[in-house]
Amino acid sequence: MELYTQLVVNGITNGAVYGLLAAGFVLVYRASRALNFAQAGMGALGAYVLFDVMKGTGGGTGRYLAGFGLGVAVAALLGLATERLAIRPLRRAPALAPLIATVGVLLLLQTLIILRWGGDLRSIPNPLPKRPWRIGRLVGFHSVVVNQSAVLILVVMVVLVSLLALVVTRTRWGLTIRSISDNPDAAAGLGVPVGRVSGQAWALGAGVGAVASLLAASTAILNPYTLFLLQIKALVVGVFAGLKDLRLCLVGGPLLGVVESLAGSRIFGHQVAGLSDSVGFFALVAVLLLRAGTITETLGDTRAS
Amino acid sequence: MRASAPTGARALRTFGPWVAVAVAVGAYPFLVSPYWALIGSFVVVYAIVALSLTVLTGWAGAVSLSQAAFVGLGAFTAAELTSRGTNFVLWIPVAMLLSVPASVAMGAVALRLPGLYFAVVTLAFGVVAQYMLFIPLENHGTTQVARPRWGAVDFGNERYFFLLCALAAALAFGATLRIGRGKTGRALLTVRTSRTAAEALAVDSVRYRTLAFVVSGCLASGAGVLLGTLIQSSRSNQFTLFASIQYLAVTFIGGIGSVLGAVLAGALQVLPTELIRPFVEGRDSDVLRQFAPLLQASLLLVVVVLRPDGLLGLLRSLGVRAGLLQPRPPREVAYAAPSGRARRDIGFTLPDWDIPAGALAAAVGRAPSAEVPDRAAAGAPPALEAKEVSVHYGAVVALDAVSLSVQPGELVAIIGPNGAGKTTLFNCCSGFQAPGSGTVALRGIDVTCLPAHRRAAAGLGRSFQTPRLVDGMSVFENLLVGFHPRVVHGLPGEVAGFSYVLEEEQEFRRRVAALLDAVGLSAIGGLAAGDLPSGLRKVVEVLRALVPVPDVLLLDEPSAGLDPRETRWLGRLVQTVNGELGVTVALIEHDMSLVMGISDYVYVLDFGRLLTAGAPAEVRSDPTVIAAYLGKEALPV
Repeated sequence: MELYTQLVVNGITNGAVYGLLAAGFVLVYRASRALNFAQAGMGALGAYVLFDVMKGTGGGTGRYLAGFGLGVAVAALLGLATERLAIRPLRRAPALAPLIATVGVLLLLQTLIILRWGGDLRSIPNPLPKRPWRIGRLVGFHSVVVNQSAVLILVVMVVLVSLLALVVTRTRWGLTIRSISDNPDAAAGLGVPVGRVSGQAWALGAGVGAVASLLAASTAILNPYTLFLLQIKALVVGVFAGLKDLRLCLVGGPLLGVVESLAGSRIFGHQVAGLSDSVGFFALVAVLLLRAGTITETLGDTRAS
Repeated sequence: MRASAPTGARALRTFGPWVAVAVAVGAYPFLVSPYWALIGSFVVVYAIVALSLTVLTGWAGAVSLSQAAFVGLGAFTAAELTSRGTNFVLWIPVAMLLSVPASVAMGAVALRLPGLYFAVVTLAFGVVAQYMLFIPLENHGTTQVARPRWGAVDFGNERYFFLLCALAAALAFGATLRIGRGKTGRALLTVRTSRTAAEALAVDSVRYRTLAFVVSGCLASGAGVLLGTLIQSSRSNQFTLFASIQYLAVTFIGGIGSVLGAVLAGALQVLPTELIRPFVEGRDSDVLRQFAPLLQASLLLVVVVLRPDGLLGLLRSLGVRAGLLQPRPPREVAYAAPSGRARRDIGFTLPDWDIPAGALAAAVGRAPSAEVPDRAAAGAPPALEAKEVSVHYGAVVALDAVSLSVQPGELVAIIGPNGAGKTTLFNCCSGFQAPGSGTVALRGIDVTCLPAHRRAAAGLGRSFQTPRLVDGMSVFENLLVGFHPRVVHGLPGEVAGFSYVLEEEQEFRRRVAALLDAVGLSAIGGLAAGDLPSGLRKVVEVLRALVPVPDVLLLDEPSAGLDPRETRWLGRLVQTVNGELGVTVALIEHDMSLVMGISDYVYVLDFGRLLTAGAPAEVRSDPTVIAAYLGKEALPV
């Protein structure tokens, strides 16, 4: 029982990153009906900028915060530039053209990162608290621990995603996003600066994604590949949220974390090779097929008129 | 049947280029060093990988981010069969067989999801293949692949191995080229444009898309076997998401959807690294390894935004400008922004109707029917009958127990204000909508449970309010799709290129040419459908629906968007089709002069109910009809 409690706790904290990354996808999708597959590359580049700032130092707080801000800003600028150069010109193109474009940006960023920093494992010196908390003591499970930095990430995630959800549902800017998401042409006709708002959403989405990437890279290791895998899993959470509901990202991230954590254990009596990394995708296919009806109704060419 | 035996000169023109290519490819490995023979093998193998994406993404319209998983499946099959000592001849067939279930599963998922979600699912598929198949296999030690040896021929020799790869590529490209040019390719492009339109033309969209997935999976896994054998190992880190993206990038740069573009893609995958190798050797291996993806990613962005037809399209348009090539429709390009193709004046307007009696019937190969059986004398079951059909959307009643009966040879009009349920009724009849209750029968046979394409194959034609033509295909090819339900041959015959397949194709091409000639539209046959003005698009759509001479033809607002002259032309066409070809016609129409002028019987719908029905003259003077159209105040008191 203690073991499973620990697995669930691990899952929730691991999943926090997924939730935050997913919020970035959802925001961008709502403002431009494109999935930012390059978000992974943008976050990774931001993480390497942070690495450059921190490398060789002892991980001072002031320096870390400045580097963190710089990394997130770089990612946000990349989001803005991608929207302006590759997404906006394709506004009238079929839905799959922006997809190809973001995939191209992803490949470009990945290549640039390897050229500049190589493919080796790095670690970012950081001032994040590293002591474990024995939270299990409260209920008598003495071995259940949680890392302080993991709790910090969870808090950041809950605060940021809730803030984003509030911005989208309560502010004037959020209203323009929702109007674009419902009908971009009608929104444009009513004087919503569709291009500008979608550019802002791309910057914000890439920035939020970068916060998650930088935190994940700081607490674990940094290499060009692991961050991409995180992003793909976050995409699963984004789809779970219907690419629409930010609040579902809040739940979906930790949920996927828990499922993965349990699937990676000896829960079936023995370990299944690769199941932990794959289980989210089985869930994805199941979720999509169950929701297929509603998805096709809004997007597909099914009407015969 | 060929018109005449090919003369020497014609044979040279037809086969000469192919022979030249074959000789050049065959001689290549013996003219260069073994290293460049090896590079040549890589180009050829990656060209097959690109070909698999041409079929999947270019023709079936599904963007896959996990094509590397299929290639990996082939490579790991090669490794596994090496360790079992299986004969090389079996490797490719085994890998292809193994790929089929995965392809069918992917196809099934793709059919139920919009493209963007499908791309996410392919990501998932790639990761699962990586973590649950490739990495465990690798940990198990299945990584070595042995080059085969047949008697005296040792494929460890790069020169011989290149010939083997080239032979495989020739087979793959030959088969794909035939599939693309024939019935299957046209059907796929139609499905990609609009599944609805395809189903209305009797194309089984599920079957064809699944077929495309299977063909693509077989090509990719077959190429995977060659790739594994080429580098004599298979490793999980070769078949990651980034490999998939790279394949997709080069295929797009080469020219997605074009078979020749796939050859360029193979070169683009391999040659950039080789070209800069002399300049960076020994200095920085990261630069060497990352140069190709850097170039590919940058070019991909340029291509997607500026030049959707890729490098091949660029070369082709340069060739056209230099006068070396004829301009032709951009058949497969689908990722262009519509505004990118400016509507230009095609210099053609629909002529007045001066088609001699019998000409249309002669063109479609039908003797003009002597007489139209009249309504009272009908002993036969109705050509089309809808009984008590109801459709509800939540609390909204779209159709409320509407019945409709069209006798063979009749021309029936359905009129009513917007939102009356006319199109919904058509959708129920043609199988695009399942009625909540009620039945639909064709010639007395209940078809309520048949899918749309089966009804179309059974002789129910249909046109749509907004034309759904394949913009990149020529008008001629769009009309050829109309013959789909009449074409007998299937994919195997098409790939093998049997003579009966070629003859059948020629026969239908002749018939389309005759039809275009008869209606005076030969001049636009070669134009891309996307270049036509809206009136002509509508005309071509109606022609496409009547090409197979259906028993019953449903026309949804054929005159919408036409000018008065075009409307008259279309009215004459519908009359001729009904009178001369004996096709039973039901049309939804708002143009009252057209309705009253040509129809035998008129149904009036309003708010989902049948208001009245009768001969045009009766309906015109019916007070309830006038009230429905013009309001109660308009009634003469």
